[in-house]
Amino acid sequence: MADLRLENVVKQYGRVKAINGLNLEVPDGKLVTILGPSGCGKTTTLRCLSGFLVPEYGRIFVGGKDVTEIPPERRGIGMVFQNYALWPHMTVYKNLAFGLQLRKIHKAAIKSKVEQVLATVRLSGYEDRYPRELSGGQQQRVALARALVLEPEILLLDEPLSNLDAILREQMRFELAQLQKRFGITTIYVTHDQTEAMVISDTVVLMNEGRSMQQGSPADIYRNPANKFVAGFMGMTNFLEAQIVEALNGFAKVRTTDGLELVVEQSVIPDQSDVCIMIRPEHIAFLNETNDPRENEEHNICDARVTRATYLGGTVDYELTIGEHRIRTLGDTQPRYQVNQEVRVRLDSEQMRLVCN
Amino acid sequence: MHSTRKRLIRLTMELVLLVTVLLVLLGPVLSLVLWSIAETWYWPHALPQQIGLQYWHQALGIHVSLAIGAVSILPALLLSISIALVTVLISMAITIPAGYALSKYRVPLGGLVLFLFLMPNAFPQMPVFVNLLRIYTRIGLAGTVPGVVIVHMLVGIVFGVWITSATFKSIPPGLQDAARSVGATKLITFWRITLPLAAPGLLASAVFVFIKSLEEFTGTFFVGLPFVTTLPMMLYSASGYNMQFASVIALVMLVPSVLFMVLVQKLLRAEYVGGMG
Amino acid sequence: MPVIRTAVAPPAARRRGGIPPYIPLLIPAVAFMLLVYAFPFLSSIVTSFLDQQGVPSLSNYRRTVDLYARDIIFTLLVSVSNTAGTILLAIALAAYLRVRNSRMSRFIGHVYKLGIFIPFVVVAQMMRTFLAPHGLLNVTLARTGFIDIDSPLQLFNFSGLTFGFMWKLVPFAILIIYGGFQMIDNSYLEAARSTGAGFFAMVARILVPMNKSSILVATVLVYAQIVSCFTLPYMLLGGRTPTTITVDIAHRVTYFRDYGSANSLGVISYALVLVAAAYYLKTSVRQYRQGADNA
Repeated sequence: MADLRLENVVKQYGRVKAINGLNLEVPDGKLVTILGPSGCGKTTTLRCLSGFLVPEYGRIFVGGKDVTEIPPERRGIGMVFQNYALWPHMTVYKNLAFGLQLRKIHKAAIKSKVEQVLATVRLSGYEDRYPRELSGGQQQRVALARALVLEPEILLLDEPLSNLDAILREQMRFELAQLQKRFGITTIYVTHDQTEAMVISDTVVLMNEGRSMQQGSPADIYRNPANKFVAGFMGMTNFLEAQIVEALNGFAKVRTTDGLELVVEQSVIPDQSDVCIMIRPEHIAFLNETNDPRENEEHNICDARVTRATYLGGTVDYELTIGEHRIRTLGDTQPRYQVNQEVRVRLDSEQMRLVCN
Repeated sequence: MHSTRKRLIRLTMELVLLVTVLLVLLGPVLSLVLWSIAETWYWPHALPQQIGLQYWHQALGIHVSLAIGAVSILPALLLSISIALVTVLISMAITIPAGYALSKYRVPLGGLVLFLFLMPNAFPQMPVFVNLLRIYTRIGLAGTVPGVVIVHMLVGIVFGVWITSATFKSIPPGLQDAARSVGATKLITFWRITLPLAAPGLLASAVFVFIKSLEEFTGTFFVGLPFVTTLPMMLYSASGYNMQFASVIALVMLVPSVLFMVLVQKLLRAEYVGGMG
Repeated sequence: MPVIRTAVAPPAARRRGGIPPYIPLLIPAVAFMLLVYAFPFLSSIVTSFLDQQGVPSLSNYRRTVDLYARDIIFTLLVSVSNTAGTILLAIALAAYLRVRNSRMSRFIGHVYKLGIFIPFVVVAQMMRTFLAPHGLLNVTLARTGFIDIDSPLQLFNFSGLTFGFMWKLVPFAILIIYGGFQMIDNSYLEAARSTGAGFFAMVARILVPMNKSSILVATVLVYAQIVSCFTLPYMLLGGRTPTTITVDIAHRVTYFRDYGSANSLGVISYALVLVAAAYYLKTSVRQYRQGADNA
């Protein structure tokens, strides 16, 4: 087992920088997700880590050893490919045994290792099947087993669940996370699906345009996004253009472009006056006038009008108009508000965040 | 009533079409078969007066008789097969690397290289053979087996490069990356992953080059005659003086062509099924 | 967040030296093609413009036009008319195979391929026996009363050549065109049929317009094969006139060792296929590039 470190890695194609100065540290045994939209450089990063690409600048360390220019076959990094890349001319057993054979391991030892790993991915008895005779989920687990059987120091997963249907995908998420914890392998997981990243990661690295936008725990990134891109990528959110009127330690008074005054609690207030207020749908609460005696004492209460209400079963998805802004929020099914109904809402000052563009 | 009549007309038309297609397609083949077994056939009889396998026996070396103007085709057949085998071996040794390079790398000036391999399909090859003869005469390759092999390779390489590069291109690059990631060097990856997966396509290419060499006429005519008598050359010279003998040779040459037709369809289907894994 | 150590200068840009791997892989094939194809090809063009003393002149072309003007026109006529006939017949048959789905059409769909795989030498020998004045065709026609037994059809000429070319090349053209027709979704044909289109309307309005490229490719390949073909005219027409350019080239070389005229005839045959060749090369290279981008 080993930790992984990237220092100022740059990879360019012609004049385009696919990775532009990436720094990243993955502690031993942790699972880090590289998350980002397509074209953000996450696949290029993975190919640099696996050794298929050599970056123009920067260094990659595995367990303190510089592996930047070591070819893939000598890196000891296991990899699971997006479309599994199982060799169609080999049985499941041969797919798993191939790497072991190259290491000149005794036949009996190979057999026991393969059987053991197949058991952990719940595929005992499938040794003699060909990949095309397996379902998508089974192929996925064979691909994982093929990487695990070599007991790699680092495991790279390239969108491993993207080819599965929704139900199987959700199930496999937990299974993957469990296996990773059990084997304790340092793992890099590449995905464009933020829910997936939230579920399985110790740390999320959000990339865009070849740069790391933010690194942190899923909860931290969700609640304290470093900028507007991160806030928008990590789930549904509302933005209000605003200016900081007054900043005290831990508090800021801001005024939106349409004149609404709000108070935001935030430990570090941005250094500029033009900002964006971010507030997630779940942090907007409807006020029931009869039940809430404190309403007059509090800030951040505003009048709104319901402009759209969509029944989702457990909740109702509302679109509200507050001043010039349109805001999405979620409400309970009781009470139900109707379109054009006037309502009062409170924006949670502890959960709002000021972000820069 | 109206629609039944219409359907009857359509059925009749289709039948006429079928019969016509069969007559046109099989008439010449039938004529060849009749000639190969005709020992006596005088105009204007519809069928030969006397049929027998005399010419077949003679051609296949079962009987040797000077009476009917036919010789054993076995030496020519053997020469043709030997030339074809050598052509396949050398052509594949050249085309597999080239096809691989064209499929896996972004070759600078790749367009120009492609152009070179496509030219022989686009332009008549005869002037090239004529000028090869001139060059051969100067360096002593005219009328020799190596000279003929080179000409057959020209035909084989052009097709071989196309088939092999298409074959390699059809292998998902992830399969090779996966082998590297479990510790295989580039060479082992090629040997254990790429080559086995490409095998059906490469085999098709080899068979194709083999057949092309067996059938090659024009190039051999210029650079090989009169010393290198392959089967097509023998057919050509026999057709000048002995219709029966020439027809026997033509039918012998039909065998690999028809086998190839069957094989190509089998291989293509196998590739289609096997490539899904 | 890891600390960015700006104090440490980034390592210098890496450059992977050495020869790119595709160069040694391509060298044997490219060298072979340059030596055995490109060099003789260029030398055929150069030699055609040199007289016997090696001085640049047009004397070869003058002699060629004097001797073979008729054959050049004959070649062009054969090529153009046979290509047109082949493609029209192939379109009709391919459309029949595509639109009809009966036991007969499926049967034809299997047997038609025969000709594609039979080499021109064998086709030529077949035609020599089949089309001869006393051959099977004339015998059959005479027996069934279509022709007078004492004046059989003379077919070792334009007609016989046409029959031979079409026998071999119509199946080839069907293969390409039918392949294109198969790419067209059934719904287009069903939509046309539901608006009342008959067979001919479907061919003319749907199948042909939607398959221009496969038809064009078939046309180009068939045309180039006819212009280039030596075996069939040589064995069928022999020394009769008029004959094709390829046969004339063989005569100039084998009887007279006259490489100058042979090469000028060769260059004229290049000129005959120039437009078709340009189209073929352009589309093939483009197709290959697209394939490379998808890979």
